[in-house]
Amino acid sequence: MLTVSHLSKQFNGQPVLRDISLTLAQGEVLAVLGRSGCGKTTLLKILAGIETADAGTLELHGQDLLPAPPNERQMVYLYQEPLLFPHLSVFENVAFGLRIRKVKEAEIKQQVTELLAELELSEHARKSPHQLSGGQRQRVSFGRALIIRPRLLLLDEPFGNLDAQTRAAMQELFGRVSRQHHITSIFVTHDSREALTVGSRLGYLERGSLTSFASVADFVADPRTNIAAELSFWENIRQTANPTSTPA
Amino acid sequence: MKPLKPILPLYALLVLGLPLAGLGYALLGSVVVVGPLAEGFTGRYWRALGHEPGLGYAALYSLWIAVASVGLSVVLALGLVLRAQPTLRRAPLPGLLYVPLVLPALVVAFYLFQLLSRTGWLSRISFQLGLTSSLEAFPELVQDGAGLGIILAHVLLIFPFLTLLFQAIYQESRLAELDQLTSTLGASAGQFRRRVAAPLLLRRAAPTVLLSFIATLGAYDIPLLLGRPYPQMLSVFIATKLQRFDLRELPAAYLAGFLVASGLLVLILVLLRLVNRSRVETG
Amino acid sequence: MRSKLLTAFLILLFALPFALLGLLAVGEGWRFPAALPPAYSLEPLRGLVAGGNGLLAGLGKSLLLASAVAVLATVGGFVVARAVVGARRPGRWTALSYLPYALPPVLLAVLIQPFIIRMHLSGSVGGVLLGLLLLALPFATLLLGSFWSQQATEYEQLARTLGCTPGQALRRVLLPLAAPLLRTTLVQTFLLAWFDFGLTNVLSVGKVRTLTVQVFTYVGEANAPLAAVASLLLVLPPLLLLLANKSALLRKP
Repeated sequence: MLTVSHLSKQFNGQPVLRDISLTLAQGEVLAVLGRSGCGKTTLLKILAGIETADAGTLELHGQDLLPAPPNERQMVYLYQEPLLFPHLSVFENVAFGLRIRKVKEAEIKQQVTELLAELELSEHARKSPHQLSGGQRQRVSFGRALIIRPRLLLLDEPFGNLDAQTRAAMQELFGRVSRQHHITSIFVTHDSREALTVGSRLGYLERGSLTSFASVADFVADPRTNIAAELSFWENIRQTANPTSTPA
Repeated sequence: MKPLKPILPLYALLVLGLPLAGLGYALLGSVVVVGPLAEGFTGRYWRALGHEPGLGYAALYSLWIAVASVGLSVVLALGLVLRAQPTLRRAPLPGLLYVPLVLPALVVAFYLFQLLSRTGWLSRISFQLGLTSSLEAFPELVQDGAGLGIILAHVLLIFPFLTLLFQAIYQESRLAELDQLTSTLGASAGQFRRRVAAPLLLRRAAPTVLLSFIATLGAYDIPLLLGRPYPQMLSVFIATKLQRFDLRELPAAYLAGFLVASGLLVLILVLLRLVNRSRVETG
Repeated sequence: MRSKLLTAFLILLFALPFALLGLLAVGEGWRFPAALPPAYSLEPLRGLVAGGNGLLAGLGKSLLLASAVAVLATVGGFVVARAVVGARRPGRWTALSYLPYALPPVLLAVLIQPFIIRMHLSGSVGGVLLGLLLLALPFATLLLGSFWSQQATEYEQLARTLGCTPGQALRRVLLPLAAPLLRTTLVQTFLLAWFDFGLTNVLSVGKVRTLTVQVFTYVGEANAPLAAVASLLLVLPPLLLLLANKSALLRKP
């Protein structure tokens, strides 16, 4: 469905993205692991159309995307901050994309109400954004993107500012809603555990180069993901704590 | 919304171009290359600068007024913010301090004239109370040599504004909490005010205080009504010279305008340094 | 106790101008040494309503001029501030915006006067408007500069990916986000023009008789009652603005 070929980008002579190629099928979630400054934000912004590429092509269902302005791509880019519109209520924040498209009032009402219920936000519909908790805000932001039925969802560390518990709940919610709506998405994170939780495909981005993994095992085995080292660390702990390693 | 290309050049042309062109014209006017008298280059008026004390005197007088007005306002505002915190936080004070912000300088000057002149309200009251027996017995408070009326008018306008500013900084920098902290370190209330609060407030407010200083230096409306024909403040000095019918005064007036504008530009450069410094500090 | 005394003193200090100006406006034949006017008359106020003394025209002219300056400077400042953030050296453009602070308005007016005359704008509302914009536009640019942060750009980009055209992003997202700051800028630039006397007086060469110019004229004619009425008219609109929006009045460059 989505084909990215040989994408490159430089800022002031410094390469930020080098020859990135990837394909993504309908309903897949590509989780990309990468530290800050690896070029992930630039990659997502080029896909969304708010940044231009120096070279490479971008196709969706065989249609060339590069000439399309961001508002015609139907690809939503979600920031780490939920960036809710402070002058609009929760309901109107979610309804935003439909109002832009001049959808009929009754239709808007029905769609937004359904989506709010699905995201467990019904009771907050009339509230303004500053009255919500961090996790609730992120759900509103998610709903605001989902309502326009994006062809591709681009998530840039969306849960980075949440506490561990809310983060786990959001990962679960994201997985459930993605499957239900067959959302295709690219999910960038620096947390390998989050990548494994949400991703149906896995990648690693480092200094502008993307590595795609054919299987979870390959991802775990790659030393750059640090998962193997992590596993042996916990294994060590377990052995030191229970030297006999016999269950009590 | 993409920035339109010609916007910044147009902006520069208007905001920088026009005043600089005026400055250039004044410079040329001072050597009599342009202007109604234009007769060809002469450095006469520049050389005469040394013998003609008017401009230097006006500069000194303006400096005195600005130092006294801003100095007094800073002292008053600091005193209120450091010594009267509980009062400042209670109604009606915060709102009350906004009232002088609605007064145009010209109106304040007119009001003070009506209040403080020898035929003014205070003089009448003192006459009725038998404190003074005639007009002349009342002290000269406006259109006086030392500029008391001018200073008073500026203080009335500046000190409430500075008080609001200091108070905003006081709350923003959480000085009340800092006060508790320094007292656990063994500092007295006076030491906190002198060593922590006052320096912090002055440092953060320095750009605005300097801006008030520059504005007072160039003040026009207030000294026009409350000042004497001599000594005059700079803006009044230049404006009257330029508007006189005697065309032979024009080159000297252009010269004065050029010098004063250049001097104030240098002061603004100092201010910009201050602003940049405080930006770096606050990140 | 000390606190009450201080409060009372400040109330007296700030209420006295209004009281004295009010007395001057309605007092008749009030000469030294009378502490209060011997008689009261609404003549200056009646004259105001009848339009005989030109005060109403002055009020209209001042309102029109200050409103035009406020709108033009705020809209212009919003656009220029955006361009400054995107410029290669934003610091230089910010420094440029401080220029009007260096020149007292009256000095600026006498410096640009030769060019105003050459543009055939001397003594016209257009000339005064241009002069006032020279002060108000950089001021608005500085005030609105703080809006165009990284976050404003992110909001704009998000709106674009949600389907907004650039125009829709401006109308539906950026303008509502900037609304409080835009309001403050409107108030501030309005007051800047409303309060100005020096620049208007020089550039209008006596032809554009705004309220401040009239106050000055009446003071010169020793017509205290009319000067007081004009003064009160000058104070009234800002006082209403103060009651409506206190925070917009505190100028922090």
